[in-house]
Amino acid sequence: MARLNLAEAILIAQLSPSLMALGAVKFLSERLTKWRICGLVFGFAGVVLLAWPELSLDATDRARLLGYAISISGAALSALALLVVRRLNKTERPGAIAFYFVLVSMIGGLMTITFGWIWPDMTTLLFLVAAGIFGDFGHIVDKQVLHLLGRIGVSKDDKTHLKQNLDFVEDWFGSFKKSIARNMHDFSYQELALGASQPFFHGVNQQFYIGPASDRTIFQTAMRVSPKDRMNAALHDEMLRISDARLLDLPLAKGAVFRAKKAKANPEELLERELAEYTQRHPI
Amino acid sequence: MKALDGPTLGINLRVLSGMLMAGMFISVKAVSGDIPLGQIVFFRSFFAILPLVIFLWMRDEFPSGLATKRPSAHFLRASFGASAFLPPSPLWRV
Repeated sequence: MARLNLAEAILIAQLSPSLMALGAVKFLSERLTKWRICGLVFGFAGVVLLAWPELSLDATDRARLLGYAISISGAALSALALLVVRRLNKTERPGAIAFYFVLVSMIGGLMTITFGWIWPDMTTLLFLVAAGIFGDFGHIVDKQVLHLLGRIGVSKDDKTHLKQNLDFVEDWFGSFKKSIARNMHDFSYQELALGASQPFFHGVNQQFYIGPASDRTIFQTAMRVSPKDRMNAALHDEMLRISDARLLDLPLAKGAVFRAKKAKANPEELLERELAEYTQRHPI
Repeated sequence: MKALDGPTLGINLRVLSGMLMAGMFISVKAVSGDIPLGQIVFFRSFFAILPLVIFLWMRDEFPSGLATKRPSAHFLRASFGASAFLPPSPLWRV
């Protein structure tokens, strides 16, 4: 049944990463830069170069050609598996991914018991156990790498990922009664007031972040304040009245120029005078 | 030891993974003449699941870390992965 030797089979299996990179462009909308194209060309060329002598020698050998065809489809299938893994990595832990893979193939393997199994001798059993353990740790380490790559991935290069996050934000925005586009100021409140609380936030990244003090209730309450009350700072005045009503009486520099024009006076002098009157009314 | 940064750690793990996988392939190759394929697949998975469970247990991921919202995606991944090794794939029938 030997169609190809191990070295050739493994060689063909090396097409898998290149196929995965191509698949990532197609299915995960990853960018194809000129460096990646170079890498892909070299990857394919390397496999062809190494496989060429063998292939041209036995071009008439149908069994070997079939072996190559099967190898290539095997590489394509593992590339597809890795693409699904890359997707799964966004939400699932590498341990869970490995566990379900092993579980499914164990059940699949067990189902073949009906075709007849052979009771292995000691050496064979040892090899079977070694295959399991080597394969297992190899697999865990490999998935750990993909998980790592998932974390390195910059979302601006990954359009699917960016879209996923933006969809999430849109859904959340949509859960409010009022239009967000028209009430963006209610959401910018936390950003402006607590900008220092989010020093590591630079746009929408893998971890969508809302400042710790931001709360749905805050946004909803902010939205209930009418435009008129906002314009004359009614809430602000109300807070002053509750804390110390005398503060409401304090002359503000803000309107001093306007008031001075009306009274045909120098703004600075007017403000000084108003402050003096204020200290008389409310002795400190 | 200084903590390795992402890419360096990734490269090191990739090399380690390659060596372990080679060990697996050699073991499979050694028995593939005598043992039916299904049995190899079963043993390869059965003796993988025990250390895997211990590994997950040590990381407090068993069984809580196995909860999933995307069982179908896991099934898809496992099917693709397993069928890459199905008969008469040369990776097993060498």
